[in-house]
Amino acid sequence: MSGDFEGSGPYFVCPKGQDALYDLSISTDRIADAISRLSLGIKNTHEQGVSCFQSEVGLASGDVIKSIEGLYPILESIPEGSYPLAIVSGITGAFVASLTAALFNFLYLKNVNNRNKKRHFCASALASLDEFEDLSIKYWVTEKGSFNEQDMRLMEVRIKGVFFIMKSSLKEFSEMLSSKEKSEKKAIYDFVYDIYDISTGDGFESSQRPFDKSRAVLISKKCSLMKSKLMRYAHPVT
Amino acid sequence: MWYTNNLERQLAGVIFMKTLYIGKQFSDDPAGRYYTDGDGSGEEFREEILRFLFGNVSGKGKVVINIDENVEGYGSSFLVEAFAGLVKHGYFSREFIKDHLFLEYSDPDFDFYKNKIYQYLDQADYNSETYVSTKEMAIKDKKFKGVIDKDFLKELLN
Repeated sequence: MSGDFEGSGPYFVCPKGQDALYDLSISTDRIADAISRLSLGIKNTHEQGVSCFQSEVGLASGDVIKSIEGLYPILESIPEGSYPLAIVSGITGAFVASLTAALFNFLYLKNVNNRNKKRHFCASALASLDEFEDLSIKYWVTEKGSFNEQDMRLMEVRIKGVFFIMKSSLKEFSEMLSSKEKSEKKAIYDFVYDIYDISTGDGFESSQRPFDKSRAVLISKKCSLMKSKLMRYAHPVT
Repeated sequence: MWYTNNLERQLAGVIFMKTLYIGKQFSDDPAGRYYTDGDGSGEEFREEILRFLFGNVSGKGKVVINIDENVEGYGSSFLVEAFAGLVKHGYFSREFIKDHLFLEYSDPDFDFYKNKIYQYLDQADYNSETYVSTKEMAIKDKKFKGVIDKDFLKELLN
């Protein structure tokens, strides 16, 4: 019944219904009042009390009947059992919506967390790769002899140590890559195995050797290619 | 191959020699290719240790070498000269070495060096280089001092 209801959900404001209920309450009050006067009347004059009671109750009954008749169309319009159904559906809907929002939030933050973890290990790998490249290039562009044996020996020890760290960092980063990033994993694996031979092979740790510019260039090229692959993962995700 | 316990070794019918610890018995900083590069070179390791051990193994025997204890790492030059040199100079075939070599390590990062050793063995051509020792020149130039005591070799075979 349009116009009879305002609002939605299980609760509604019904002006006509409120009036009907108000009238009903007034009528029942009048009946109660008549009954109390009757009981007083019976004490005084039996006949007077009965006739007064009869007229008052008659009037009040009429009003009650009218009030009930006014309520009836309003009550009839409400579907049977809809209050509990409406409440349950409202609560269920709210619960499902909040659960969905929480789930999407969790998945999004997990994705962000994974990406930031990747970024962290990528940054660590890049740092050690930078240091390894720098050391290796300096080593191979420098002639080695008895005049600089100590310094070169130190460089050799550092290269082997930094290679180990770089290899571990790249391995940790590689393990974070998904199965869709197979080509990146293979590129990292191939790089580590190749750069080891290039940087620590041939005249590495020999007592004397000339500078080897082409080897230094090759090291630089390989390291730069690897860095370009890693840079993609180096940006923060918020 | 890494056996997790002695039972597996027995089931495989493998006879293990005592373990050679590179870092403790040979050098904690194995470095360089030749005697001329100083003590602890790949040539020294091959000529005075590996040749001896592989020459005394037969059947299902294994030369056990621990590669990670007391060693930080290896250069490619050392590993190539030491292991691939056994094949390149015609001392042993690649298959013989691989059948009788057992590399031991507890640090998983040293799996890299194990893989490299096997890669160098696979890439080596049998008897493709004539061996010319650099020991005399190294002693003459005072690059090689012979400081590494190799008496442990006898104990390994007992």
